Amino acid sequence: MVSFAAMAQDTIVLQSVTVNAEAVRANAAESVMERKIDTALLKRLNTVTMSQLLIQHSPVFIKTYGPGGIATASFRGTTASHTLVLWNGFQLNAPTLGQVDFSTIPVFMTEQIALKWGSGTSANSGGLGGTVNIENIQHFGEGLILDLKQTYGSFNSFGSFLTAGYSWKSHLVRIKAYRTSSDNDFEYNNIGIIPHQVMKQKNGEFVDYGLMPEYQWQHRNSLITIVSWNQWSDRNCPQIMPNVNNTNTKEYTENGYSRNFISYKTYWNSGKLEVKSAYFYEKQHYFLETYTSIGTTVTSINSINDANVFHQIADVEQDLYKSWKINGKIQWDHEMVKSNNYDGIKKRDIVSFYAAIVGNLLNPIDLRFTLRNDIVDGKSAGFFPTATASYNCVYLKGLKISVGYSHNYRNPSLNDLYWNPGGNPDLKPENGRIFDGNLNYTCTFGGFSVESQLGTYYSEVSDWIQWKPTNYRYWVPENVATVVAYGVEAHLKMNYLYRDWKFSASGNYVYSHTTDETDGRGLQLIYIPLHHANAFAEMKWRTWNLNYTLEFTGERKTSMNANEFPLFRLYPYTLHHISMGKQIGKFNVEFRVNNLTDVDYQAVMWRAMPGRSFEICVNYKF
Amino acid sequence: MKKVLLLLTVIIVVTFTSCKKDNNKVEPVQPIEHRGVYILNEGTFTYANSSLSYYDINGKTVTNHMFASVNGSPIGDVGQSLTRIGDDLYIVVNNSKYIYKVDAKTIVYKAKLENFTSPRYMLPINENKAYVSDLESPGIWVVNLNTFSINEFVEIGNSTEAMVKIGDEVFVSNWSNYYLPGTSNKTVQVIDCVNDILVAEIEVAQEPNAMVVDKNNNIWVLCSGGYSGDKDPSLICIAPSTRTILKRFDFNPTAGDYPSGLAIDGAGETLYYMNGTYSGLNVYKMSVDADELPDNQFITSDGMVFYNIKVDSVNGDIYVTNAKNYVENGTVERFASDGTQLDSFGVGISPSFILFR
Repeated sequence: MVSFAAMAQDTIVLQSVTVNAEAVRANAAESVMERKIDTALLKRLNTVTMSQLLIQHSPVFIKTYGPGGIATASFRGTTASHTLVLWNGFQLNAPTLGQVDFSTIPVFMTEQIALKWGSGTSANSGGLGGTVNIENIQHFGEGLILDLKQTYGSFNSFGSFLTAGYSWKSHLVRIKAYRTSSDNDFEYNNIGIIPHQVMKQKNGEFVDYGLMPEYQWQHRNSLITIVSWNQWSDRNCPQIMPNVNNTNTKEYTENGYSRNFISYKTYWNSGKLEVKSAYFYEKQHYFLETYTSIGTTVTSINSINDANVFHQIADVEQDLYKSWKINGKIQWDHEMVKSNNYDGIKKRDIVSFYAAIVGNLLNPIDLRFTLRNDIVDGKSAGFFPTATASYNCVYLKGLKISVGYSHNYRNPSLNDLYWNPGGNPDLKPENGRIFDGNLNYTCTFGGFSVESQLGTYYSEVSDWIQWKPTNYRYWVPENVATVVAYGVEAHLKMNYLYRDWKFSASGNYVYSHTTDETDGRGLQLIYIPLHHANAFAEMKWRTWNLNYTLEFTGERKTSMNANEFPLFRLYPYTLHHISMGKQIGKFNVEFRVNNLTDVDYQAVMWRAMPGRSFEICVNYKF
Repeated sequence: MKKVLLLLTVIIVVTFTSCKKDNNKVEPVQPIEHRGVYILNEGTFTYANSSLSYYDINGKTVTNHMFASVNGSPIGDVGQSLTRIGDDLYIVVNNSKYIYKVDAKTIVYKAKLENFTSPRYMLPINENKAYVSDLESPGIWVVNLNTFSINEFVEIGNSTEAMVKIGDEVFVSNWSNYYLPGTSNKTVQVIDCVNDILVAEIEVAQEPNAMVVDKNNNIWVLCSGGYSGDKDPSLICIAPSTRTILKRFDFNPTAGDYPSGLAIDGAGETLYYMNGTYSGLNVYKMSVDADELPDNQFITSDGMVFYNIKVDSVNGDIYVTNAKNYVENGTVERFASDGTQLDSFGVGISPSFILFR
């Protein structure tokens, strides 16, 4: 571990903090359970949404309703509710639905994205599939910060992104602001009507904008950070293909959130302490208006959900003896939701106690044990342990083999508990047990470097919550299913440098077998493809760069039938995207073609998806 | 650089040329020849996977996905009900807000009538017009059958559900006020179907969801009691001419009773309905002359998820749909008039409406 004395001499303290974190992660038992998205890639794909980034460059599967529509993420054969999203350590999953819409997270608002799975998710409840960790990272002593991006593309799509600020030796102010909008009226082949017809998508317009001021102050061994992430979106909801000719329905959402936190970090020779406090406000407003053909509005669904969440976290890390260190965390989350879909205001308090111990046993074996106890509304949810062992191969440098076990749970969302009608206050939490094994290998020779990862997992989730239609003609969630998921994740990344040339290629392949074992038939869950993959190749020459991305999604089922009727199958599809860019002084110009081969596909049944589209992005960086 | 670019281009073009398969193949389906039953399967809400099945009673064969096979497109989102008028079959598609008109024998598409708000059932009034009830509109749509267009919307103040026609009057139940807060969900309204005007209103019990007409031309109204709050599930018999309640049988709301799916035999003498809690309904049988509700189940669900019921007016066989878990294909369970099971056949997702032909 880097000593603090060394860090104090460093003018760029936050980088030292990063180094510190790296030092902790040098324990292989921790590093094998996570993957960071390449930072160069994050910078280049700064103008897209997190959903686009993850489907193209990570093993996470994204179920998307199309541009401007909901996009949810699932890890390792689980569902969107099992993907926990942490922003600087705070949970983003709304207490109402329990899920995160990745289309509302612009990559622009982050500097680091790391994926964690298995026992890597042990510090929080809910991430039975995995966690997506989003961080904001600032650097001191860099002077003026000014970065402007403007994009324009097909379907009258605009994006404007501004980062401005100043970074002194021990102070930093930065503000990020963005606005994206699109008419989203692409042409597609509507196969849901008679006769099939090529038409433009209607009612798909959206506008999103956001503002994130940040302040940071570093004094001696301490660091204070204040960040406020504010976002608004106004999106129309296009109809499913068979319904497009309805002129009497208008469906739209007006969502917004304000996520604010203050954190105090202090370091000493052999450890660190972080105390942070956050207040999140999230508004979800859904509108459905129906008009009669005689012109009057007969129905107006006006669903307003206001969620207020307070998070308090104290996190301490201390070196013990030799390579062993201990980490303790206490967290208190207070959720309060006011919704016209609930009967009154609903609250929930979750207090969580967490301890982890990591260290090295004999030289090549790294170990990590964690234990967490959560108290939900004064009642213990149980004790949840994890254990990971990692072996650093002494015969082949760069090879790490690890195995892990974790036990975790997920609380029902407040919608599950209190939605009126249907909410089921008697729901139990979901209970998950996960075994995983990973093989990591990295090596470099000459200008060539390889990073590879082969992961395999087996998880069993009991008391899985499913909303089911009932004789009462509304849906009710129940702890009905036991779901078993197992699969393989393969990742490969290669870099090659030769004179002025830089080649890189990476890819992910995921096999996820997820079955409902409740009735003994073992059918794959809907919307979880057995196979999905992506690949990326980049070539840089002096100021030029050329990129190619491939995105493959296997067949998905839309019902729990062993044989799906052909019309209701979601067929596999492969998308290709290319882009070319050039640096001209302080400017960078990039031209992108998405869905190069104009593939006609459906990601969600009867939702139109765009064919080939173009985009140009101009970036000025001071 | 050129070589690499060329290679890349070749790889892209050769390996992944655009594959625009049209998976919606139109397949010939044998036209309907024999007496049988149309089954409309609701499908999953917002999935637009509703489907139409036909069961040939003599041959005991079932043909599923008839509409999609013949027409190459889905029925739409949440098929609600079927009505046959002459050679045409009308499919009311609730969440797609339209009605498809197809040939009753070949299921070949003829026309589509759009822009309802939440259409439920269609009732022929005469050869020129039909009524369509609506869950989200306070009234009845009047459809011109000759031009297949909406003639007018008759406002009657409440949402409309089940309809029966007796003489020149249509009795329509006001099932739910979920979408129209403040309106009635415990009445049956009477419409003069010659002049399309509201003439009377009869208070029944909460959420009248189904109606049938018996041998005495009296109307039986099944009220589920509503899904929450003060429930009063009841089976009520109305004299249409005097608009009075002749009989009222109350279910037991504290036991979770939630009756639905009222059916009557061909002679108009025996009622069948389903009752139970939301997790399971059983079938009950009752004479229209009975003085109290039956104590015992007539057909036990035995783990099946009964969803709707109809009786064959020719031989008294009872058809009960089994929706299973609502996300996989269901079945139709056939029972003889004495309640013994005959057989069952597989249909689509959430089989909800049965129409004898």
